[in-house]
Amino acid sequence: MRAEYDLVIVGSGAAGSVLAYQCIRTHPNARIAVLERGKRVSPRDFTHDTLDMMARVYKNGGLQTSKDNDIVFAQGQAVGGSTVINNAIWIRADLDRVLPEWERQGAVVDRVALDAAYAEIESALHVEPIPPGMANGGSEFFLRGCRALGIPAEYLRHNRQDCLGCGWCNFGCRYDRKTSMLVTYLPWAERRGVDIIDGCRDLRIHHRDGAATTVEFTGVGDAHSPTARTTLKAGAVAVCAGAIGSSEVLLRSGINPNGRTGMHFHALGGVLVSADTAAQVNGYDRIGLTCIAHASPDYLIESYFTPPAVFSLSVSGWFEEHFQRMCRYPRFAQAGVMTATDPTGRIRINAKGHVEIDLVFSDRDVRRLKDGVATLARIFLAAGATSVIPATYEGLEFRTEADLALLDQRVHAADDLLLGSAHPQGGNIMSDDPRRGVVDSRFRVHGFRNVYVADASVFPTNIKANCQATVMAMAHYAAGMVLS
Amino acid sequence: MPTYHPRFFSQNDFDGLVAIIETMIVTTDGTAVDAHGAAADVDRYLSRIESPALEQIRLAIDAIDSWYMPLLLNFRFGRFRDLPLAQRRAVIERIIHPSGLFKAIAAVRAGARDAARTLKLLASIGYYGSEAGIRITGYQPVEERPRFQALDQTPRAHPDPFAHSDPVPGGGA
Repeated sequence: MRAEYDLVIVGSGAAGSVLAYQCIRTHPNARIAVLERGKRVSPRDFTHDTLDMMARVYKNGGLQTSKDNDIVFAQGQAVGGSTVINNAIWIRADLDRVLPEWERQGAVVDRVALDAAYAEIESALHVEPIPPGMANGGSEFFLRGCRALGIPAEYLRHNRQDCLGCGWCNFGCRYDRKTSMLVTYLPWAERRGVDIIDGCRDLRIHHRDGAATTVEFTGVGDAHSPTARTTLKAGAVAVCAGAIGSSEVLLRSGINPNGRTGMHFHALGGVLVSADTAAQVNGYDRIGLTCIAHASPDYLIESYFTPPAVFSLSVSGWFEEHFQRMCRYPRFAQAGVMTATDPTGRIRINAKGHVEIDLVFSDRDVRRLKDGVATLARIFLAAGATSVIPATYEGLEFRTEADLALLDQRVHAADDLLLGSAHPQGGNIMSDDPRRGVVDSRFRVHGFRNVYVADASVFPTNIKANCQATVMAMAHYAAGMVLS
Repeated sequence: MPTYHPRFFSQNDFDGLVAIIETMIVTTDGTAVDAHGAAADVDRYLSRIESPALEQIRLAIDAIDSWYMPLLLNFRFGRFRDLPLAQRRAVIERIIHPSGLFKAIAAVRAGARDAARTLKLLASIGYYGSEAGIRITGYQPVEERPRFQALDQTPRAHPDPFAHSDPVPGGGA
């Protein structure tokens, strides 16, 4: 570790890693550090033990919720960030819709450059369609239902190479087949001279007269026995700690132009639906998230599966009913319905000093999710499911089309669903109008000469797709502006 | 019962969690689950993480095992863990599906739902995260899957794709 860097990047996930690598590629002599709150965990030490991995690589150990506890936000906290624990799904945002929408918010993004960034990263990470033979057994069941109803559906693209299909992608790939940042861009950047410093806690950006001067943090050490404070001089600082973490870093550092930091937070999230296929599909074997159904612009439907402990949380029911369902685990297929919230949420630091995620799914969002759940239930029933169970508090179960009426009878508010999101966005939105945004179209924080934000927190509106591809492409695009 | 010294919970709360898991994981053939082992796994997990939710978890366990429980059982005082299984279940069912004032007051209802979800979370991740719980679901560990035996599990290397085409460090930007 040096005492002084030309660029300090806060966060080593999809954004920070690509930004670091792109910057060192174009400025091979630059002194660049990447600071990560989580620890560096070797893939050789990844286990197929849910609780162990949640404690080691998930933010808040996987227990990160909205202020009202209605939404669980799943994010990684380790070197490599959420790319260590995500499903490696690669979806380009629909730029024909997104970029004009962003432009109306005052955010101007170069379409050609962004397309080129996507393409380059896709090549580097070996992005390709998921081979049907590597998809879990529930995938074909899901596609069969889509075909029966005439709903267009397909296998997604992913960033994996020679995947073995253990089904533990959400807990880190111990075989290095998922091309996460931990095994690609970060070691590539490191070999070119970038310093990666893990375990950086209680981080503050110090600034004077509109310029960051130093970055201070506690570490490196065990989470519960922090060592002394470390201060690095910084020529520029790029905050890439994710939609929740970046707002936290800025707010704790007193970087809050026009009181906008943390505002306009939004998410793509929703609810899981499980279907008893009455056959042994062994959904736990091979890749969990595999297919997408294009049923409506109001919601996304993606097939999914996960190991037993997390599955048990998404299957409704209590006591023996829940146990009986768990005993049929190998017979279940699963998929999720996600909708995009409006950018009306907010990230705050509360009186206890904790990060507070103030986001609710509106009545419109709940309506969309109910529509999506009904569509997904029809897909599963058309495929031959004997029972379809959405993740609801009341434990609904659909055995026939007629049972779908229960949705309107029993689901009225967000609290009636078990909601989750792995795609938080906004909080430091991009707009050239400082009254509206936190960063300008060059990713620079309004009122600061050398502080940048380049992750999903700058998305002015929801991209309505799994985020990692666009986060990486935007970071690649930002590199030319951050260290120009 | 094996000795385990909880790290996250107090001994009282840990004993309460064991009783909660025993009550919530109901096997259909009446086989007893290793609630103590599942609770120990949960305790170890929670002791390793930092989350604002930890405070709520402590509160939920403490509330059910002490002051909240009498309100649900006609002001009968005592510890949740000391109740017979059927009465423990009645307590949890009243949290899951509150009635009367508990249902009428929105904030209380929401709090009860949060508590119910917390109990399910702890019981489920504890039990279905354990070796015994995983086995009972029919999940087959990776190393036991026949097709895995033949696979080359060597970690894959991912060389820098631009290592040979980019400017050489030290050669000027």
